[in-house]
Order: sequence, then C-alpha cells, then structure tokens
Amino acid sequence: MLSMSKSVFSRMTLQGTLYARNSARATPATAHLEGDTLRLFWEDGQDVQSMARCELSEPMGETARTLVLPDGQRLEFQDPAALRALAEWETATGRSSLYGRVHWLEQRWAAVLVAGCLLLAALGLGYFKGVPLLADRVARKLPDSVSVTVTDQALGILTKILRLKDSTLPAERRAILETQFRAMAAEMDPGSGRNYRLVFRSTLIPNAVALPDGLVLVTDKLVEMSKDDREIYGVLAHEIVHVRERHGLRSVLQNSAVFFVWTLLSGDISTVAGAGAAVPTALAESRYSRRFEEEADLGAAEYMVRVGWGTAPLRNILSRIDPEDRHLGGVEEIFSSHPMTEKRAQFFDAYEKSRSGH
Amino acid sequence: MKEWYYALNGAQNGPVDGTEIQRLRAAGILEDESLVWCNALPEWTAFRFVPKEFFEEPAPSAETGLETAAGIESALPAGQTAVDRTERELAFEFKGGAGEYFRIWIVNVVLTLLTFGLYAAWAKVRTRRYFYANTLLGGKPFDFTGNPVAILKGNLIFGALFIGYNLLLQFYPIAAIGAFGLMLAVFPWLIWKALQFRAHNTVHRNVRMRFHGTLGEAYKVYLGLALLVPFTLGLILPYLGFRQKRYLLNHMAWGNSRAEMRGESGFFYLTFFKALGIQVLVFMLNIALWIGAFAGLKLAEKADGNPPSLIFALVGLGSYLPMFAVALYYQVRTGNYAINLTQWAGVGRIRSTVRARDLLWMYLSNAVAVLLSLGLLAPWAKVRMARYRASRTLLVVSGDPDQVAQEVAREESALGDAGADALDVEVGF
Ligand SMILES: [Zn+2]
Repeated sequence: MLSMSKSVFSRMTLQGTLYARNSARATPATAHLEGDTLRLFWEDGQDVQSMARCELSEPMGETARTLVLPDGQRLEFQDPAALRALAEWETATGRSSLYGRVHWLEQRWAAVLVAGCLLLAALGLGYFKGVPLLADRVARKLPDSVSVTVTDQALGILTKILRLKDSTLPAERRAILETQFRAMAAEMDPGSGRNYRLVFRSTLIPNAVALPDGLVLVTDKLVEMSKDDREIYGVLAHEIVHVRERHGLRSVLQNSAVFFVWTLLSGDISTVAGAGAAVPTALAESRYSRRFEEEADLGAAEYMVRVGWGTAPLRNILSRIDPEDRHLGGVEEIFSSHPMTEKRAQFFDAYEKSRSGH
Repeated sequence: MKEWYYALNGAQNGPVDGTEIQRLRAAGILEDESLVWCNALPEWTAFRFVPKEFFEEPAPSAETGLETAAGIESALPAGQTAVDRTERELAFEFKGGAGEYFRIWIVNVVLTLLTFGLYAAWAKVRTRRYFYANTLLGGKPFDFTGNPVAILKGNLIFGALFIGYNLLLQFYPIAAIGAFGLMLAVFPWLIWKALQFRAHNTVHRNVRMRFHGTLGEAYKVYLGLALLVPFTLGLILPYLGFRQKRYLLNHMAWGNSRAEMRGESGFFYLTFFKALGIQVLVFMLNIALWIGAFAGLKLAEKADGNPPSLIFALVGLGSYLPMFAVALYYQVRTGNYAINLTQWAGVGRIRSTVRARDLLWMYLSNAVAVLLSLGLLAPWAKVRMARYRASRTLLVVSGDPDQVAQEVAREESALGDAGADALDVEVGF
C-alpha cells in the first residue's frame, strides 16, 4: 500500500452527522476526502479544511468515529460504508498511529489467537521460572538491615497474634537445645555470617517459625510434645533451610509479583464476577508456599539422614502435631500452604529408603 | 427569574437568585473581582462590572409561568416559544458485540503484560471508548476523550502509594496504620478528581458533560459523614448513601443543562429498613443452617467418611448469597430512585428500570462462566452487562428531541477545562 503514489487517491464520499461548535444540534452532512483536503457540505453551508489540522478518532471495530475540525465543529461517522471509506483513506495516505496498529491486530482472529497463546506461554514461564528467579535475585540483593527490620516487626506481630508469653521451660533444657541448634546452623549454613539464634515462647499451639535474619521461634508446646530431642532437631533443620534459602523474603516478593500481574489482568474480571476474582491468586500463592515447604523438608531430611538419625523423628512429630490432617484431601489441599501431613510423611519415608539403598 | 452562578475557591456555585448574590457580596464572601454569571451575561464577569439592575428581579412574565406549569425549570435563554412539551422516550442502546470486544480485550491484556503494565492506561482508554461509543442515546453515540497520559499519571501515583503502603506494612506495621489514615484522608480528593475527569471527558452530540461539585462537599459526604457511622450505630448509613448519590448527580451538567436531584433521604431509610428486615430473617435462617450443618458433620464424623469441606462450602454459599442479594436490592432500589428523580434542566430525566433480581442472576451466571472459562468469558460478561443496563434505561424528553437538543450548548465556565488535566483513578461509583 505504501508504494501507491499520492496522485492516485480516489475521491471518497462519506455520509456523517455534523455538529456546530459546542452545539448538540445534529445536521446531516456529506464529506468529500481527497488527499489532505476535506470538503464539507450540509443543508445551509459548506467548508474546506486540511485533514492535517483535524483530529480523527482511532478506528475500533465497527464503532463510530469522529472528526473534530479546528474550529470545534464535529463530524460523526456511524455508517459502515463511511467507516470503510475512512479506513481506505488512511491506508492510501499512509497515516498510522499506535491505536491504528492495535486495530490491525484486533481485526484478525489469527493474530488474536497467536497473541493469546503467547500470553499463556509468557504467563506460564513467568509464573514457574521468571517470578521465582527474580524474587531470588532481589532477595539476595536486599541489605541485611531489611531482614533485621522485618524480623523485629514480625516478632512483634507474632507476639500479639499468638499471645506469646515468656517460656516456662527450664533454662538448662533451653541451653542444650540452643547449643545443638547453633551447631546445626554452622553445619548447614557455613560462612553466611547470619546471627542464628533460638527463642522460646509459651503459647497454646505447637509451632516453630523461622524469621529472615536467623531468629527461630519455638513454642514450649512443641518441646513438650516431642518424645525425643531428635524430633525437635528435625523441625529446627527444616527452619534453618527456610532461613538459609531466604524463603521469607522470597515469598513476600513472589506474592507481590503475583498480585501485581493479577491486578493487571483482572480489571474486567472483578467487575463482572465479584469476589470470585480473588480465587486464582490464592491458588497461585499457595503453590509457591508449598514449594518452599517441600524444599525445607528435603533439606531437613538430608540433614537427618546424614547425621544418622533417619527421618523417623520428623514423621513422628508431624503425626503428633497434626493428626487430623490425615483425613483431609481434595479442595483444601489445593489452597493449603503446607503439603498435607500424610504426603510429607510419605516423602520422608521415601527419601530415607532411597538413601539407604545407596 | 435569573439564575446566578458564582465562582468561589475555584469551584462554581449556584444557581441562586440576584438578591443572594448581592447578599454574598455584602457579607464579604464575594469580592469585587469575584466572577459571576447569569444567562443574560455573555460570559463570566467580575462582580464590579455587572450593572446593579441585573440583580433585580423582573416581574414574572406569562412565558416563564407557562414553563413552570409544565414542570420545567430551564436554565436556557428565555424567549423560545415553548410549544410542544409532550413527553417522549429516547432509548439507550448498547450495540457492542462480545466477539468484537473479545479481540480488543485480549490485545489489551497482551500489550499490558508485555509492557509491564505501562500500556494499562492506553488499554483503559480504548476499553472505555469502546463502551462509550457503542452506547447510543436516541441513535447518537457517546464519546470518551480521556488522555491516556492522565490515566497513566493516576496509575503511577496509585501504584507508588500501594507499593509504599505494602513496604510499610511489611517493615513498620505501626506506621502503616498512620499511612492508611492518610490515604483515607486523600480518598475524597481522588473521587472528586476522578468525577471531574470522567464528566469532562464524556461527550454526547459535541457537548461535554461537566462535574461542578466542590471539594468541600466531597470531604463532607465521603469522609465527614462516614466518620459518624460508628457513633450513630450505622443509622446514618441511608443518609450517607443519599448524600453521596446527590453529590454525584446534583453537580452533573451536560453543557448548559444542569442536573438537579430532587429525591429525599426518606426513601433511602425506607428501603434500608426493608433490606435490614430481610437481612435479619436471612440471618436467623443462617443460624439454623449452621446448626444443621454441624449436626450433619458430627454424623459424618461418626461414619468416618465424607470430607466435611463440601458441606461447609454449600453452607457458606447458602449464607453469603442471600446477604449479597439483599445488599444488591438496596443498591439498585436507591440507585434507580436517585437517577429517576434527577431532572436535567431543559432536557428531561433519565428513567432507569434496572432490576435487582436480573442483576443477581447476571452476576452469578457471569461469575460461573468467567471462572469456568479461566477468565476468557470476561469480555462476554461485560458486554452482556452493558447491554442489559442500556436496555433498561430511557431518557424522557419533554418535547421534540431534536428541538430540545438544539437548545443545549456548551456552558462557558470560569473554571475553564479544569477536568482536562485531572488524574483518573479507578474508584467504584
Ligand atoms: Zn516450613
């Protein structure tokens, strides 16, 4: 089309509706387009304008287009024949714009299909590879002061939410556990210079939480529930992996990325589907979280087998903490942040067997 | 009677009568340089240049008496022979297609993701233009003239606020509470800006719409009154809804045709208490439902089989749905009331007959369709909604529509094109 010389334009005649400047009064009008010249005729007047000085709205499906003249008059074209003529005139004069190119894409189902497939591929690649990689890089770049601040704040929040009180465990018992914990950290994460420390608090639930700067919080209940200190060391190994691999910061970053992309995608979805629009983010984030748990489980199993304790202590304490979990399945598992207890136990079992086979 | 308008603190006020303008000047609220305008003046004029006799009221003429009798308060220049004032209905119509919009939508999504969100502003303009230009009133399209850069500006500010807030929440949760309060304080300003932007960029028949509500009132109805909710045990809620709707509608203008909302808050209270009554009933049924579910759960536990999740999902849906339905009922009833009681000077009034049960069905079926299609049916759902709303909206014109349109013209405003460079944010109305 670009090779067409400027002299061969056919003259286009378009039917439209004319409005005077700032007026709602509609008048039928005929426009003749020839090159850059617009000749306008209506019931009691005529006008000649240069198209270069007029503002023509972008093409969009079969939608009406408007031409705003420099003096504020406005021409509206709704007739399909007029829309076609305008498009031809644009091709002939070589006019193009951002939205013009977008329109070219929109008109073609094949292009739309290709774009859709590319989109799916990009989303998949981003979700499975891009976001985790990026989050890992960023988490490594963040200064230590960030981890320290996050840890301070998180400890404050945990204290309030879980109603944490000072530990009632005997001091010597805590000292034994902490010494072992430091030794494990030095072995599992050598040379990182992280300030690994164990903090005991009392609350109703058995739990252990790893915070980014190396603080691991253990509740008295967990210690009391264990029948063997190796069970506690298994849990601590799991938490050390969380710290070493920066899972805390990485999950914040990954979930933010998911949220950002979802905001870009879901504008239209939330207006027509209401609260249902939040379901996919929950799905996407829980998968990330389960990945981290699996990584921590693997690291813990590795450690336990290496020091010769086997994964039995881990399986035992898991079944004691979460006995009810065994019956659940289906819907909850998709949304849950931790892999199901039974699956984890099976994993520990399988890992140990594969190791002893060698 | 002359209708006077005056500019105060960057906002346009009125209409008031000439006596009121003189009183405002005497009280020192208006100054000699303050801009005032009535339809007998060619443009906005400083107070001191307006001849004193302009403020005096002339004896009522037979003509104006006739107009009032027909129930029309016209801001249009007097002198037209009002012959035909029979009411006629002008239909709204949405003629966009799901297939066409699907292609626009998916190209928008792809480009937005490829540009890491920068294209979102251009995508929004294109979407809005599609829905405006395919909405016809009396066969003539609307147009959206918003500049993507203004929307990009809004997006960037909003994005920065959001990221900043989340960082605070992660690192200094206490400070985040303060920041949240600050954002709450900015909220009415954002709504005000967005209303100006939307109205200013809506064109129908070469005449722009305009929003001339004041920032002060935005703060009053979106923050001041809202803060009273806990102290009035929520009893102020219907009044709040009424004031917000009135703020939106009462300050709209299409050229020189100003909208005036004539509704009363009484209707909001009536609907509110009706809805509340149904809600209480639903709540009691819910309690029964939950008790039943727990009993069922105990049985299932004894049988040691069925996963309880399904029971809970059904009970959850069963209690959430009626609540959603009642809230929708209240929204739709009061929304229709406010729109239907708004008179557009010299043009007529809009009649909305949108029904809550239709909307409920559409929301539900849309949600199912969108979820099952992994979002691909979202464009179809949006087109369907637009088509429904348009099919239940009419403009009742008092007179021959072409005659009426001839009298509508752009109103020159002292504010200039204040809305043009406003920023736009997505706030639900
Ligand atoms: Zn973990």
